[in-house]
Amino acid sequence: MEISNYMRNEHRSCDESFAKSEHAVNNDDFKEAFKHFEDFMIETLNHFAKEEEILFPAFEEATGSTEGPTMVMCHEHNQVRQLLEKLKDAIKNEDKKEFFSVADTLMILLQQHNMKEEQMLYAMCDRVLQQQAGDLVEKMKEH
Amino acid sequence: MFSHGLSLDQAPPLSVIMRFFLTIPFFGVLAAFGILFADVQNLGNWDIPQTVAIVHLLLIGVAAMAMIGALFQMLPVLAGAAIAEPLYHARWTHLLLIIGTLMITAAFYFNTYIFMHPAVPLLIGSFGFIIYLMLSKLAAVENKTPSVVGMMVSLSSLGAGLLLALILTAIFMGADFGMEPLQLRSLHLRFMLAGWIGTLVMAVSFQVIEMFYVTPPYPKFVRSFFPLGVLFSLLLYTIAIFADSVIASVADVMLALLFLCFSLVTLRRLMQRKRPVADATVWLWRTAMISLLLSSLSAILHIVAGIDGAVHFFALLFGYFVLSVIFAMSYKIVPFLVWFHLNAKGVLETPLMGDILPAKAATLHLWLHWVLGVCGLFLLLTPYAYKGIALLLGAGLIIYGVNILRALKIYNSLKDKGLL
Repeated sequence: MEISNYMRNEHRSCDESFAKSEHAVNNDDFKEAFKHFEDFMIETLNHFAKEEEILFPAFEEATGSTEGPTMVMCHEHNQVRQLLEKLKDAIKNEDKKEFFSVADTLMILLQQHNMKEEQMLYAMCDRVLQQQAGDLVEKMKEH
Repeated sequence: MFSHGLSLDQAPPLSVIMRFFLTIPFFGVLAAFGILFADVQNLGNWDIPQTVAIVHLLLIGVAAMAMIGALFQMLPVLAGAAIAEPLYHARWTHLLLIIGTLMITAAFYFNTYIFMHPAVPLLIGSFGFIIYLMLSKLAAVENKTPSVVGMMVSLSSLGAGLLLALILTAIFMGADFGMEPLQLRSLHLRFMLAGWIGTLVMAVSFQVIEMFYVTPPYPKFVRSFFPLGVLFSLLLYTIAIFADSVIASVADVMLALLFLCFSLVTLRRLMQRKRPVADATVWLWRTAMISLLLSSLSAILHIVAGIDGAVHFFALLFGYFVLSVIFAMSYKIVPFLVWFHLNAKGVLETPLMGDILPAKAATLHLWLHWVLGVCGLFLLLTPYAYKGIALLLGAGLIIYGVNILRALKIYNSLKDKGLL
């Protein structure tokens, strides 16, 4: 459960920053929104990097599979990256309508992505990477 | 070997889901016509064949179609396992369900019971296969979350409800099993409304309320025990109905209380959501949960205080709850899937959810849906309010159909322009 717990907590932390950004845009405070959006983007991209550079390679090595679920998750990471750019533009242009349109798409994409990871992939990681779980979590914390 | 059963990418083709969702307005409008042309005095009586026909149009033609479409999409996410040949299975089950629903409702509505004979195998065959397909996938899930358990309870209840329907039809055709048809009917409707639909909404809510609106998760007690509590109450009712009517009433009150508490917890969760904007879907969920709350209270009034009229409000509010959930779910799922599939095909400048289903279109439907609810209140004054209900129900479902079709049109116009 060590890997699951650590990664799940990171998902929740990202949700918090995103919600703060939405609140700020809703109050037409785009300066404040950008601050929270930056936090959210940094946290999210850092989380993706931990997965793509540390967790997924370890999972792929343990399972011998590079074209399975980790590949799909990486594809979804790229979809999120595209939407993050759009969201940044919407805040810069102070376009509230565009912001919430992108935000809705991004949020559902992220949440269903997180659900798949939390309910399946992380549980599998806990199992196949049991021996090295502590080391992997330490590496990810240092990332 | 380790990734066996773990497949995160098998989103079925969009047409698998859309064919079921597009059938919803078709049957919904048929139900509206059914109400419009029925004798208003008959509509207050739930045993009259015309009323039975309308109820089945709504439950099979609308609720079941929504459930099957959504499950085809959600199963790979929830169970981590893809359905083999989803398009093929969606095509034949969908076709059989359409023909079976038309036949069974025609049999009741027009008293043409000749249609009943082919309708039963068509519906049992298609539903039976869907139940087997979904249950077998869910049973294989290692990490059985409360949503997975809830869906298993829901599908099992649907199976039990179908079996009871089969026995009732056989009795209707002259077979004698030594069982009282009225008791079997009571069981049939409880397994279908509380077991199948009620538990399904619980199971889905545990996932999507948190996911779509970023709320705290449902309390562990609710997630772990409510779907099983419904199953326990149904089993208790099943035993009691043949032996002790007091215990049967206790089981009924337990069911009503479970749904009452569930609606309150969901309303609370929606208040605690971290996302600030309350779009049409948030209001549809709130409308659904207030309807479920009032429906459960009506059921308790009927059982405990013996108020006969309360049963009508229980049934009508339950129907309004089901419709509200279907609209709330569709207005998130459909635009997201259109975006998801176009983006996955590498379409440059894929329209966003807000462009695929504009907020104004969903809000217009929401207001009409609320007017429908208000119109229902006029039933306290006159049964002719059913005429207004029919027109508003039909109009709402036409708007729903137009909204879904618009999303599909956007997908069809861009699907071949992808780079991948």
